[in-house]
Amino acid sequence: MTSKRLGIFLMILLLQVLVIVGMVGKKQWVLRTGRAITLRTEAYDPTEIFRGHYAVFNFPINWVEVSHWTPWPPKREAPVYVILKEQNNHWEFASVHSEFPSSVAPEQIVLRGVVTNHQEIRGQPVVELTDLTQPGWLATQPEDALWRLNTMLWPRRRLPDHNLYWMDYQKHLPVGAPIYVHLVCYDKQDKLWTLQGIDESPQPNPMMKANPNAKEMILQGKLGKYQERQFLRVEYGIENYFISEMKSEWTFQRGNVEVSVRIGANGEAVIESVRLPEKAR
Amino acid sequence: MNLHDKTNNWVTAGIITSEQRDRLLAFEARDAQPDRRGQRRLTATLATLGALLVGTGIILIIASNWDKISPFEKMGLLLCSLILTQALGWWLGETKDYPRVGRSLNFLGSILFGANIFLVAQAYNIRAHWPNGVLMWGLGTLPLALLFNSSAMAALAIVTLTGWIGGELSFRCMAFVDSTLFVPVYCVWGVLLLAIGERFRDHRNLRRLAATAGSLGLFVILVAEFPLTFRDFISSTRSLSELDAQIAGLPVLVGLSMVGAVISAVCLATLSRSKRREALWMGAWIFTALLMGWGSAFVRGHGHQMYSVLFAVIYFVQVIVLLYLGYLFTRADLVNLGLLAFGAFVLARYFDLAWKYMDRSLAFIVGGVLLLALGFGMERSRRKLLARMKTS
Repeated sequence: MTSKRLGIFLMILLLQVLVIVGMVGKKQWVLRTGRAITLRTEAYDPTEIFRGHYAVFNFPINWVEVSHWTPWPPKREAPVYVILKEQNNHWEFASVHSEFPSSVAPEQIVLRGVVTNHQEIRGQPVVELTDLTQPGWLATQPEDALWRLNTMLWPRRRLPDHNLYWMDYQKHLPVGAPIYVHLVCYDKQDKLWTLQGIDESPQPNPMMKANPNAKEMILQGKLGKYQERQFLRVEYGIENYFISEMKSEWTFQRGNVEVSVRIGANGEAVIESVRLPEKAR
Repeated sequence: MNLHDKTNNWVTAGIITSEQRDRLLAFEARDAQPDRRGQRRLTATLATLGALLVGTGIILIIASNWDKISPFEKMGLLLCSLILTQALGWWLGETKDYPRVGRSLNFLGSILFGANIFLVAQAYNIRAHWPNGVLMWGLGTLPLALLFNSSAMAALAIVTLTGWIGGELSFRCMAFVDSTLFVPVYCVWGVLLLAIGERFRDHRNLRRLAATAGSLGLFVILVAEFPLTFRDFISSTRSLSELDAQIAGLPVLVGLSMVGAVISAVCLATLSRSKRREALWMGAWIFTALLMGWGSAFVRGHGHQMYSVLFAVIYFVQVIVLLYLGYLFTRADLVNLGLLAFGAFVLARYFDLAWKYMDRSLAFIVGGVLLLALGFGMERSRRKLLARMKTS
């Protein structure tokens, strides 16, 4: 009886060990045999909201534009295969497919990802942010705040080119009309900004004056074209990078982090190393 | 004069015989011993706490020196700590007759297994689908819980698997408005645990594990159904028919739920003849829970707020029936969880109504008094019920 129990126990222990070895082995295999590419981030945040010291990368290829994608709306977690092509030492988006592409050119590479969000613009105008300087009494670091707003708190309104679209737009102003994006912040570090509204008026909200803790930021823009576009948010498993607590040089940055990635034969991506921009080091 | 001298005097005086003196002394000596059950519990608690502290220390050492350790050393450290802890637990528990310390070390091994998964995920920046890590942890711990019939390991496995279900659903749902599936899926999961718990409650080798599964299953059902009693929850989430096109793997989820329901039915149907009446009651209770869970997925959004009243009534009846069953079948677990749900339900309804119709300050005062009275009443009725159950 004891020897049978011991046998079962050893099998369970072996299973646990195999899980750990399998996880490491799978990633090491990609790191050893995969093709190396370098991707540049648009921006990153050195803290992940739930896990702390994790940089959150935002790659240009995270939002890909599609045309008549089926099914629409796409199913979340549905696998997609993105083909990247190399141009001037940069890897850029070429096309996206719902199945692994049968043929890929030598200068191209396939990256496997999953759909985590989608965006559709049906005749709404884009608000092009023309001036990020501070008219009047604006807060510090508007660009960083805008990036945070776009990627974390406001993902559904964000466009890959940093512009915003006016989701609840009901008027019919001409293209080029001046538009103002009102943001509000309640924390002392000026970190978390939320959208208060998009307006034709640059006037500060009188309600903000009543609240001594509230800061308002007004970003200047103009009304862009009325558009019909579809986007997929695709994540590849390389959007987070663990930062040791020892590395204090990681601060909030707008971009240009170079991430070396290895791509396996099945399109799986693993981060090999990360190079910080000069400003951050 | 101590008892020994006293009894000697009584023997000399001819009040008791020497045989009676020996029996008296033996009885008093046994009574004077510390409560053995309490002692066993204390040993198990201390060993478990010690195991947790050692585990935390190991994880912190590895995590804080992550950059300085080479990949092979990392692997070696992680695997060695896992294997050594599990092997030591086995050795102490199975061969050296230290079952509590041994099981605590195996429990620590199960925690280390999970910690290892997440340390590897951290090292390789694996974030793509984190629920997979939780699933592996739960599935790797469950066989050990079965082998050792350990409540702690069973609880760890069930909690991690419950977390995995939540994580998996949150990946598939785009936003809060899409969180409709949480209630039915968790209801099925809770029902499955409860039914398995009922089926193996009297099993010689699985008793403790079954009790843990049953209680946690009941808890999961009561927590999952609770939001349905709020108007805002019903009105701010979308119905299943609206979500159909957006959730990947929905047919698989529905299929798994049906399999869970069938397994639950089989578990209850195969209960022994003496438990037939209990099985019928539990079956009816479980059927209501499933009906409410899956039924709720179709009535969501604006215009369906009134269903929250219906769900609140069903929930209340379920809780009362649970208390009744606890008393009928002398089940302390049903009474305790039933009273907990009853308290939460009363408080929620109080704040629902008081917020609307009463001045805020008054609402707080009345709420505080209500809370105190409810706590007092519940504790009193719980004791009474448990005492009556013992005597009957």
